Amino acid sequence: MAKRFFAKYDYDIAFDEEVGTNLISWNTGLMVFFVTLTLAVNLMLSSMSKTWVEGLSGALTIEVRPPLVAVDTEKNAQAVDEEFKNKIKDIMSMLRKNIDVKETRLLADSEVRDLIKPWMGDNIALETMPLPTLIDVRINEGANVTQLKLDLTKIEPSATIDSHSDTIKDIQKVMNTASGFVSLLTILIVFLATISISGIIRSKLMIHRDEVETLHLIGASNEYIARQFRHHTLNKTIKGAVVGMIFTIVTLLIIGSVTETLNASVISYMQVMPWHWLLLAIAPVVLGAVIAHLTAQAASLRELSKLP
Amino acid sequence: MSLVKFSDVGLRYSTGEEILHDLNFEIESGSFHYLTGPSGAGKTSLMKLLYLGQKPTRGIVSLFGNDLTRVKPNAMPEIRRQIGVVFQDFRLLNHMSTFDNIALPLRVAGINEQHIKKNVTELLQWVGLGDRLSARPPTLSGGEQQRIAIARAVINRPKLLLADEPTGSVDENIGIKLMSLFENLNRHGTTVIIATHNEDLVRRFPHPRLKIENGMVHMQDKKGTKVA
Repeated sequence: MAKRFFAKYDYDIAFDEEVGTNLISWNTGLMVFFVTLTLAVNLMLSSMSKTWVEGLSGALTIEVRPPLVAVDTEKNAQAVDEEFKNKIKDIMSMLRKNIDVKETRLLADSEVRDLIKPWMGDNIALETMPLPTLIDVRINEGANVTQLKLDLTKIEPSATIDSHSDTIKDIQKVMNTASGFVSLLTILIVFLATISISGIIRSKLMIHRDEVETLHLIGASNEYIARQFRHHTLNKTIKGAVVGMIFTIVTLLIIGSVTETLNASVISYMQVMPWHWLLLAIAPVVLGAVIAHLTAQAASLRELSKLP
Repeated sequence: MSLVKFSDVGLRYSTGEEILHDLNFEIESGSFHYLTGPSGAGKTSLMKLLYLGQKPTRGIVSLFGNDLTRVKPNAMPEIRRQIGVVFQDFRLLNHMSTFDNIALPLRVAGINEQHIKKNVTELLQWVGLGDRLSARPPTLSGGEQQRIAIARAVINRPKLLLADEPTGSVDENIGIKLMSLFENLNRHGTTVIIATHNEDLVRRFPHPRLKIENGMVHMQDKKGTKVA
C-alpha cells in the first residue's frame, strides 16, 4: 500500500510545473519542526514535574528546634543537651516503630549547615549557631500524618512536620502554567500552518484555474478535482513533515548533548523517555498529514463550489 | 424531442447591460446547427451557456430534458459528460500527452483503463494522429491540436457536440476535413452546434443557423431564411 501511495501519481493538473511547488513541504516541515519542539518541551516539563513531585511526595521533614533556655553553668548546659539528644532518640524510636514509616534518616549537622548556608550568607559563622535537628522521613502512601504529628508533639511539643505540600503545589502550578503556555504555542503554530496551507491551496487553484475549469467543463466532479489537490498536498506534506521531524530530533539530540556537557542540574531532570521519542517521531507527522489533508479538501471544495 | 431549450434567457456580465436577452429557441436531438453572427455578437457567450460554463442571469435553460435551475450541483458533472466541447483555444492540458488529453473525459467518468486504451487508440487513428500518442500539445501544429481537441470532445460519445470556431486556426483543406468529421458524427446521432463566422464554410456545408443579432437569436434555415 505504501509503495502504491508513493508511486508516481499522474495528476491532471500540472502541479510540478508551477513556481513554488514545494511551498507546502517547507510550510509543513517548519510546522512539524516547531510542533515537535514544543511537544518535546511539554513532555520534558511533564517528566520534570513528575520527578520533582515524586521526590517530594511521601517524604516528610521533621524539624526539632534546639532548646533556647538560658543555662547558667556548663553542667546545666550538658544536662539540657543530654535531654535534647534523648528526645531525638525517642523520636527516632517512635518513627521506627510506626508502621506507616518506611525509612528515617537523621541529617548530620554539616548537611543542615549546607541547607541553611544559601539563606544566611557567607558572613555568619554557622558553627556557632544553634542548629535545628532535621529528620528525613519516608512514609507509605496514605499514611496517617495527623497521628504521627500527635505522637511527635507528645515527645517534643515544639517539633514540626513539613509535608512539602505547599512546595508540591507551587511546582505543579509553575509546571502547569509553563505546559499551558507551550500548548497554546503549539495550537498557534498549527493554526498558522492551517491558514497557510489553505492560502497555498487557494493560490494553486488560481494558478491552475484554466486546467481546473477544463476538467470541470468536461465533467469532472468537484470531488475528483479536490482529490488531486488533496493527494498532491498530502504527498508534499509527508515529505516536508519527515524532513522537519528529522531536523527536530537532530536538534533535540544536540540540545541534550550540549546540556550534558554543561552539566545543568535543572536540565538533568528533563528526561526524554523512549516512548516520548516514538511520540515525537510519529505524532507531528501524522498531525501534519491530517491537517494538510483536511485543509486541502475543505479549501479546494470551497473554491470549486464557486464554479458555475 | 428538444435536446436544448432556452426560455426567456438573458445574460449579463457583472452589472453591465445584457449582452444576450430574451433567448427563446429549441434545438432538436440529432440536428446540426451553425451559430453565426458578427464578431462580438455573443457567440462565445451563448456557447458558454450551452456548455454550462456560465449561468444565465435570468430565464431557464433546459438540456436533455433537465431544467438546469432545478438540477442539484452534484448532478451537473453527469450532464456535462453528455456534452462534448471543442473550445476556440482548444484548452488542451500541455503537461499531458496526446493520449492522456483525449482519455481525460473517460478518466473523470471513472471508465476502466483497458476500455480507455482501446477507445483512445482507435480515435487517434481516426483523427490521423495514431503516431503521435505520446506527443505533448505544444510540440504539435495548430491543426493537430485542433484534432486532439475534437477527439477529446467526442471520445465519450456525447449527445451534444459544441465547437467554437473549430476551423479558425486551420487551413482550408483541414477545415473541410473537420467539417466532414462533424457531419459524420451527426449522422451517428450526435447533435452538433458549431459557432463560426466563416460564411464560405456555412455555404459549402449548409445546415440551419442560429443567428445572433443585437443580443437575440433568430433561427434560419439552410438557405439563411429566417424561420422563427
